[in-house]
Amino acid sequence: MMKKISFISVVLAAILVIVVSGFSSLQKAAETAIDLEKVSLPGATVLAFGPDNVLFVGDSKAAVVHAIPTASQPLKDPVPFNFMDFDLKLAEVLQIDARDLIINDMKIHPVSQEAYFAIKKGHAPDAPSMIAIVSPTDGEIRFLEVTASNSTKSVIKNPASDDLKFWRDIPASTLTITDIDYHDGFIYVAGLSNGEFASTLRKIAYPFTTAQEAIKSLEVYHAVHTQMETRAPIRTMAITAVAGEPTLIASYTCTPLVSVPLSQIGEGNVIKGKTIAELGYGNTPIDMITYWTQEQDGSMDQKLLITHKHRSGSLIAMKDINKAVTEGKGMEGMMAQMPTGTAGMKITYSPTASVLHIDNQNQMMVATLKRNLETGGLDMVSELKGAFLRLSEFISEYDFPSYQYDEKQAATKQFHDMVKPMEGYPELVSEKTKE
Amino acid sequence: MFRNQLYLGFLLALQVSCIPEKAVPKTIALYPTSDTLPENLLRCYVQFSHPMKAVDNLENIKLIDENNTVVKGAIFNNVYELWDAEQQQLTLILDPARVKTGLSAHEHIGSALVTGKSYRLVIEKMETVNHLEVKRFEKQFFVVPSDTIAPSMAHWNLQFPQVGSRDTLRISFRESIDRMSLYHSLTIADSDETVIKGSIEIGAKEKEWKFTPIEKWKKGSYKIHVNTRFADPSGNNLNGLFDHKIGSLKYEKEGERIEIPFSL
Repeated sequence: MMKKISFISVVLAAILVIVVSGFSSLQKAAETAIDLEKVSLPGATVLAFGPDNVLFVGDSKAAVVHAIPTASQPLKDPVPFNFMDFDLKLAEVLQIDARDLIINDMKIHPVSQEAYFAIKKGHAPDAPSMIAIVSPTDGEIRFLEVTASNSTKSVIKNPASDDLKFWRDIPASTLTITDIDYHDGFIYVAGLSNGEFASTLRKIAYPFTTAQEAIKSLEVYHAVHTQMETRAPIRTMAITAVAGEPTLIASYTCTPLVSVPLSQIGEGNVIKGKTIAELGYGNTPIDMITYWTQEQDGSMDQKLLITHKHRSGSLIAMKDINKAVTEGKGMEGMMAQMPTGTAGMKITYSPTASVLHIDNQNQMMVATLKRNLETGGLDMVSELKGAFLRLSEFISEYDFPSYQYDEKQAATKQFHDMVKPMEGYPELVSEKTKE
Repeated sequence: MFRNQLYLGFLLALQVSCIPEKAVPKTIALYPTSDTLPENLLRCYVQFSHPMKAVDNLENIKLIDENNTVVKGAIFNNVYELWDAEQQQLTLILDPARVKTGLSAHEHIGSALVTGKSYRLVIEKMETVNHLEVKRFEKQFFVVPSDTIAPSMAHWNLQFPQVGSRDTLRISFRESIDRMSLYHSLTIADSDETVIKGSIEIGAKEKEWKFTPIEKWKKGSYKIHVNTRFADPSGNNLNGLFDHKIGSLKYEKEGERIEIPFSL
């Protein structure tokens, strides 16, 4: 407990200093002319950061993964995002109506803590897409130059149309890249086709080689108790060590959570993944992140958070995943014990139902792009890991000026005093804490 | 002044009434076109007349049962909607968790479609890329038992063309085939493996594939290339059933190519 409080205190002091000086220039969104030729791609949908701060951009329209170097100043302090109505500001910079702005993905730069967005300017099939960048320190919006001479790319083959020469009036088979993850010299690319329903996971060596042979397509399947195969695509995934072995944790289109040792993924391999949990009916997973958190007893614990389109997020302890992968038999024999739709391990719900995109921002915060249910706008805001909520979104008895925290609520008070400046309300921190 | 306004109003009304039929955005078709569909239906395609806004549409597409109740969670709500490159065809997936045996949703909620019942698929409030609202569309259909027979080439009926003609090569099937499979899983090549260019037409209820070449058929040997991903609307393909036991697939790898040789 003491350990936790001391950690919080240090962070709190840092935030108080930063917040007072920050956000003064938030209003002055970049109004410089945008050179579309330098910043636009046909259809950027998915982003992932790789080694040496390279940004992987999955372009579904062009069936290409770009690797674009990014240069950024390190930001060591935990500066929170407090960018309300981000979509309106971005639309203003692009000189379009906010309803014509599409935000496909968001990732946080591992060094600068800037948010990178894959966006599309307009709904037309040929509307340009771009990578917008916003910094937590000044809120200014800029666009990534995608034509940099040192960027490279890899073409994704679409097996559904390999043999086909297109003729007029034939609906094109498209492959939508749904997730990209980098691990140890390879990117893993998941995709969904509009013309078939099968696993499409590709492993591509990075740095990219010129030959297309570097692209390996493979089929993933997993078993449930009936030993039925799931011919289904991966929706979102994360790569993390499970019992010391690099493992792909994948969420399927039809809700199972599956583990596949990375060592099994290779050219032509038929992979038997293991179903380790079911996330329940009606889930549409969006993002998957892992992070370390400090437990009540001071120990560090790794968590896996999966956010969903219309539901609360699923928060799972990695030690439970380790156990399911190494000891358990996956879902075998567990079907009869499945009364509520989720099963396999303890799944805690996180209040992330309005979160469109989430990523690790720093050791203590996640950055989220979330729908503000009151204004209808998209807010780019940081939240504390574990809490996954904004105190300022709720009015409770704590908020009345006359409220007095008693001694038993020391930890609650400390949490509130830490979160208030983080959310842009440093003046509400109690005088004692400020001292 | 008033007269001018009246005149302008008249011109405007005339212009509105003279908008050609093609300019009014609408839903052209919903595939499969059959009015009886299997309980384990996996995939549908909606064809629009205009390029459509490709986000936030799935809430506007509803499956409604005989009691006029919306069947919740029937259509899988993708994060990225599956459109073709022109944004005129949208792929709908019926929640595979409810279709597949052994998964929690199937065991506890069951299939979204129930044999012997009628349903309506209603599409409304969808917009073109320019925010023009598309007219409400409705398709009524009756549900028949699950399709648990994988497509088989043994049941194909082939009709070959005459040399020197631009006759249509026809393949007819016993059952309805997935629309995209008909466009993308069958091609014809000559003895040099050069793909023959031509146009594809799909027969009624997606039970026939009709290929008409651009150039006349020459004497020689040809092959029909068939991708084993060739599927029916329930996702059963030439390699096996969508919902199959491990080890029961014909080929270890999906997407193998099978060849049907023929000579003219």
